[in-house]
Amino acid sequence: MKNFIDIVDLKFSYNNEGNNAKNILNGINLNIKKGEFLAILGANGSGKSTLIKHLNAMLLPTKGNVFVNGINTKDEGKLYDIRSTVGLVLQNPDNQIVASIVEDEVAFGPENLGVAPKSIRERVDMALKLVDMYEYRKSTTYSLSGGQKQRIAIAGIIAMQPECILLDEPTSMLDPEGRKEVLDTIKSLNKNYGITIVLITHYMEEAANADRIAIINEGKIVRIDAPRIIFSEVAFLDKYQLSIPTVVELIHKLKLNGLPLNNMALDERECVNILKKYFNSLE
Amino acid sequence: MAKIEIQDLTYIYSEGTPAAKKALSNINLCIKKNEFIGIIGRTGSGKSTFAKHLNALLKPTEGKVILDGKDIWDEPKEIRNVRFKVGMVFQYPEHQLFEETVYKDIAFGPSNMGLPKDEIEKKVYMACEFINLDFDLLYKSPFELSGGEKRKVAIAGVIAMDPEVLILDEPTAGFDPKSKEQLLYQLHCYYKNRGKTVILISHNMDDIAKYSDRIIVLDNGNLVMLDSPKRVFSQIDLLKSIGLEPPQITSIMQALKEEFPDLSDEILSVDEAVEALSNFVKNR
Ligand SMILES: Nc1ncnc2c1ncn2[C@@H]1O[C@H](COP(=O)(O)OP(=O)(O)OP(=O)(O)O)[C@@H](O)[C@H]1O
Ligand SMILES: [Mg+2]
Repeated sequence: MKNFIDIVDLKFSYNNEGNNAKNILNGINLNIKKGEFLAILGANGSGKSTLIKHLNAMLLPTKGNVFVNGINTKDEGKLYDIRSTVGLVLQNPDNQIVASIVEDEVAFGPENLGVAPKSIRERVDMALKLVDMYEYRKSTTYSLSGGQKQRIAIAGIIAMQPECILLDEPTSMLDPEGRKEVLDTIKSLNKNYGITIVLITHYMEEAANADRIAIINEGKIVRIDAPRIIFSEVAFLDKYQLSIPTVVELIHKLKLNGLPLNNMALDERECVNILKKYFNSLE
Repeated sequence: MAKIEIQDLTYIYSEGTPAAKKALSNINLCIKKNEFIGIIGRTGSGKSTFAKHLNALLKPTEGKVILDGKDIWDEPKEIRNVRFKVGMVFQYPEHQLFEETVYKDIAFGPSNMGLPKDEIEKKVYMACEFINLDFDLLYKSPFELSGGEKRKVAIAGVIAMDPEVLILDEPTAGFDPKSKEQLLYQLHCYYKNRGKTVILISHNMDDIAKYSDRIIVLDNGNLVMLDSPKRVFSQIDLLKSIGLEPPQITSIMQALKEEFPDLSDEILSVDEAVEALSNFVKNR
């Protein structure tokens, strides 16, 4: 079976006049499967944002190729297909929102795609329901909280009915409540609607929800694996400016202290359950 | 003597209009020289409004802000100096980048202070080291940086002014985990080794608990608590009632304590938890 997204020997430089053109991406090979949730981790300046901008043809490879559903992103005639298949959500919701009423904002994308008015209405309602913002459809966008704005930005992408959503640090400007709302929305889009998710984040707790984590360093993918495996390699993560979630650190240090715990926890509830079970076994 | 003293501070946005909104109510507190203060409170609780009073970006509707024994609004001509003494890193600092090179952006503050050229250069390099910013980036345009790099440059611009009081509003958003740890550690050294005052506003309770001497808790414009991390985070019910959660490790210990009452829940770091849990197992 063909992969949904194929990145083949991708090299990229921002080619600024005269500057010795440094490769920001340095030979990336990556396949993204339909319906998967992929998280991308890496130090500041490692090339994460540059990489995902290649997935919806916002940037084109200097060398190598990127294929979406078999279409080469360099194929100018297919830009529409690519952009309607793969949508991008950025960090700061304030820079993305253009309309003053919520439902107009969500309708903006499909209108630009030339979707018929009647089906725009349906798509907007459906998208707002998916991100749990339907009751706010008549509200003004500026009166929303950060988390709500970000969910509206996601709804705007969903209304274009993409197969994949790219999110570049969608929660880093939000408070804990807003972060949870947005993460829950992302997880639900993936689990319940099969939308492929590519999430860039600096929060290890968020990456723990992914099917796979890719780690980028200086424009190369140095590792790609399941969270449970990646987070068990503390020294490796350290080398690439990363860390482990608090719950993983706790279990890890307890094991080093001689407690015979076998499992690795990825979230708070798992962690508490593992410890309770162990303590009860001591009776 | 207190470094900063806040007396009966009240602030009302758009005073005298129908949209008037009281953002701070009658706040009284003292911040010492050489202290690391954390400020917590849910979105809209008044954290940023409070911080803006400390470097004279907002003028109290009522009450006083006293810096080194003097009301900062007594001599309007001196306000400029207050802003040199009290440096402020805003919530989205990268929005303020505007020079053609990173170097010029970081040098902007010290240049305004009228420092000589070689002194400015020293400050720029010192600030880059502080924030873990690659020297290679100094001659790029700030608009050609990654998100995290832009933010680092903006923070370096304030650090380069070497302020006596440094206020930072959610400074580590968008930082990779190591850069985040490094910035917090540098802030710790800034106050510990150099006798400065650091005020950190953050939603990250783990960081606040780890680094603060004392924590200011705001809710709806009111000062709810001003106390040590241990005391603040032991008030679970109060915190929950104003929309705040303790550090994650504290809530794990609290969940365990429900079933195993012998455990302590006054725990703020993973290392403390490891010690407490290991001892608990030994004594079973
Ligand atoms: N428009 C641009 N022109 C020139 N160089 C750029 C441009 N945008 C980014 N860069 C450089 O490319 C490198 C990778 O940037 P990118 O934005 O992909 O990093 P990132 O991994 O997303 O980092 P962060 O975690 O800080 O967001 C950085 O060194 C950055 O300075
Ligand atoms: Mg980025």
